[in-house]
Amino acid sequence: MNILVLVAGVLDPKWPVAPMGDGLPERVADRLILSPFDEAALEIALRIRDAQSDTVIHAIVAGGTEAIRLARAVTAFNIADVTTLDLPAPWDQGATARALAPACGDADLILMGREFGDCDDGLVPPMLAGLLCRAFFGRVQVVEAGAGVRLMREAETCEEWLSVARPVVASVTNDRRIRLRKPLMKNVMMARQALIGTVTHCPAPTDGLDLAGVSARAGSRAQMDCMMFDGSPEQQASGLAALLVEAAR
Amino acid sequence: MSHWQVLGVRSGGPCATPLPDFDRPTLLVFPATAEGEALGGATAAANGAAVLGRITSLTREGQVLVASRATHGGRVAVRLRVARGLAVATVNDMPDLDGEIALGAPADPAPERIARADRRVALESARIVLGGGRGLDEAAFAQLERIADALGGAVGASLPAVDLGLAPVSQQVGQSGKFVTPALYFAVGMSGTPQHLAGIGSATRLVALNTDPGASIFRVAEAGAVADARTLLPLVLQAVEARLGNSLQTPAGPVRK
Repeated sequence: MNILVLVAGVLDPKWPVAPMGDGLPERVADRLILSPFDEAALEIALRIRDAQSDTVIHAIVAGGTEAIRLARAVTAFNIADVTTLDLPAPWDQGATARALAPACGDADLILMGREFGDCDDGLVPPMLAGLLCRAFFGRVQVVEAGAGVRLMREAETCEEWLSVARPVVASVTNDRRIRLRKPLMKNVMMARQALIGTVTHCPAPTDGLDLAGVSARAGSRAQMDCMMFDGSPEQQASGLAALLVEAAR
Repeated sequence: MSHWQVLGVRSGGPCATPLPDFDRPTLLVFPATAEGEALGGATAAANGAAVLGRITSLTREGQVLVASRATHGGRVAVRLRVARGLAVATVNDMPDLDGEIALGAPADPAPERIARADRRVALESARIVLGGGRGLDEAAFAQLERIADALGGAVGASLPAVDLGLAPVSQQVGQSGKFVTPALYFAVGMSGTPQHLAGIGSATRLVALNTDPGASIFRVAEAGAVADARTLLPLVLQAVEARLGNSLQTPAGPVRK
């Protein structure tokens, strides 16, 4: 099986981030790490290779020179073909999908995180699948690899299992069952010397979207005035229940 | 009147539906669910649409549509502007709409579906998640499960609650657990550490219940109550069941900000 892993990388959440002028926070090389979703996608590819020795894994890491360190970290999982791809407008999920599409080649299985980097909230993977005219299977949690490959996700009250029988784009979410392994030290050492290529691409046609502004938020969530339910316990419970039932409908 | 129209999209079943020809710039708004994202992304690809992402606000400024959304795990906000054509977005709560359309999408290839033993909605796809922290005990977690069952939601837990054995690790939400993006997260008996909040989508609405009025969770929750969960959860369950059953409802208590 020919697998392509698309790795986005994110700014390490342990460090503060701030807009750079009117633009997005700078992607600094030594603060760029694999996201939990990147790690899960990578681990699924590795498990398929463990089970099927003829599997070949390629990886593309989003970014320019700042992403080379991250690309070496991916190479350390004994992945020989790792390249970088600079994204022209990371804030534009459509532009990101359009930039990735020409670089995907003929992989049987394209694996990527459920959210592709800091600026995606889940639309890049299905859009990429649409651009490539491939099937899409989102939020994968588990892989079962033997003679064949099956991907599983939990949906509502059931498990959905997809047998990978033809080219598929699968987005992967983090799950305790697919924690990324540690690379072998000898491979880490070899990765330091590895040649990291760069994918060049033609500018994708624009879709009329502009970045009108970037601002910092105080934390991972915006602070707000909390509406407190006072009164008797019954009244408090009734107020909370109203919100819960409204959201469930 | 702005020339943009904003249309909500609902699932139109398993048959592929072509988009109608719109005579004016159109924003298609999909629910921020796994299905909504898949359909939204496919629609954007097939129609060359601009992608606004999971938006938290939307304004029409003359002929231009301006949307805001969070990036970088909710630590940065971007404003996006689109002037023409077709655009797609996802939302947790539908904005004011000019109309609604149904779009179908074939499940191709169709996955094999196997009912899970616990029959409970998966955390990943739940519209409501009730998260318990170390301020709860086993009985309170059981109450959360009952409320979740009544609402068709799922139960999550903070790392300290998992460490205490109150919930299995498969229910852990947070930086080292699962990432969930429900429409609403009910945080019960937890302080709201950044590590836990990192596992909740930035567009998810938060409601909190805690005995400590100074708990940091109240600074990021849109609504909440200060009370002992062990006392209040049974009453919340009763009130939820009453509302779902269209029974006589107890008026909600006074609110303050």
